[in-house]
Amino acid sequence: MIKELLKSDSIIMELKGNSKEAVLMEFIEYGNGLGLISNNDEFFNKILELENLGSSALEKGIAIPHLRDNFVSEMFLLLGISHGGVDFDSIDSQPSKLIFFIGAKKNDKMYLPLLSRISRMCSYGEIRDDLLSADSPDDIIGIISEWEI
Amino acid sequence: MAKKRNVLIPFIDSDDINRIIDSLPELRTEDKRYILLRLLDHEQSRLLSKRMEKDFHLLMAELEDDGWKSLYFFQEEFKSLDVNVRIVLRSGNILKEIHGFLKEYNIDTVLFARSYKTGLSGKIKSDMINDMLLSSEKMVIIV
Repeated sequence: MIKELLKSDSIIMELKGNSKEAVLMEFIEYGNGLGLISNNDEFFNKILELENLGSSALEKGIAIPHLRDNFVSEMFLLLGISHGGVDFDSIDSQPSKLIFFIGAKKNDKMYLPLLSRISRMCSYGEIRDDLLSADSPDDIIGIISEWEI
Repeated sequence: MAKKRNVLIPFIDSDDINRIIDSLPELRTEDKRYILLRLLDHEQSRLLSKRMEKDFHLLMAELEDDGWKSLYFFQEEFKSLDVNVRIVLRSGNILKEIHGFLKEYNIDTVLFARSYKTGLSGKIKSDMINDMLLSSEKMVIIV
C-alpha cells in the first residue's frame, strides 16, 4: 500500500525547513512541482489549522501531517527526512525526523488504512533506523517494499 | 500561551470513545489536550489467536492496523469538534502500559467511559478502571 504510492520522486532526502510551518510549506511547494497540489495557500492554511488542533507527530521522531479535502484531486504520499529533526510539538518532545505528508479526497477509502499502515511500520525501531540511514530514494522504497511483503 | 492540561483517554473498545464523544460538549475546554491511548492486550490477543488458529504476530499486526485506523478516525472526530487531540497506540499488558504511560508523560486526568461490556473485554476494562481508581494519584473521571 505504501510502496504503491511512494515513488522515488516523492521522497525528499533532506528537508531544508527547520520549523513545522517551513516544512509544511516545503512539502506543499514540492507537491505543487509534481503536479499533486494546485492551491498552495489553501492547502497550507487547512493543514496548519489541523496541526493546531493536535499535532500529527507520533512518538519516536515520526510525524504524519495529513489532509483530506475535496480540493485534493487524488491521494498522494510524500516523505521527507530531516536528520536534524523538526519540532512538531510531539508528545514525547522528540523532534520529528521521518515526516510523511498525505493528501486525499474527502471520502477516500484508502486514507485511514494508509495512515494506519505508516504508523505501524514506523513503530518498529529497526525500520526507523533503516529509513534514516538510507542513502537514496530507491533504498527507502526497497526498505518499505521488503517490510510490506 | 497557557500550558494545556493533559487528559488521557485509555480505551480498548471503540464504543468507549463514541460514548466520550457524546460527552465532549460538556467536557471540552480550551485549556485541555486529550490523548487517545488505544491499548491492545497481549493476553487477550493470545487467546484470540488460539481460538482463531491464527499466528499471534499476524493477528497482532491486524489488530494494530485496526487500532491505528480507529485512532485516526476518532482524531478526525475530535478535531471536527475543535478539540485538541493526540493519538498513541500501545500493546502489551494493559495495566503496565497505562502505568508506564502515566510515568512517562505529564498527565493531569484520566478519563474513562463507563463499562457495560461483559466477558473478557468487560473484565479487562473493569480491571483497568478499578486499578486506576485505587492506585493512581491522577484525577480519574468516568462518563
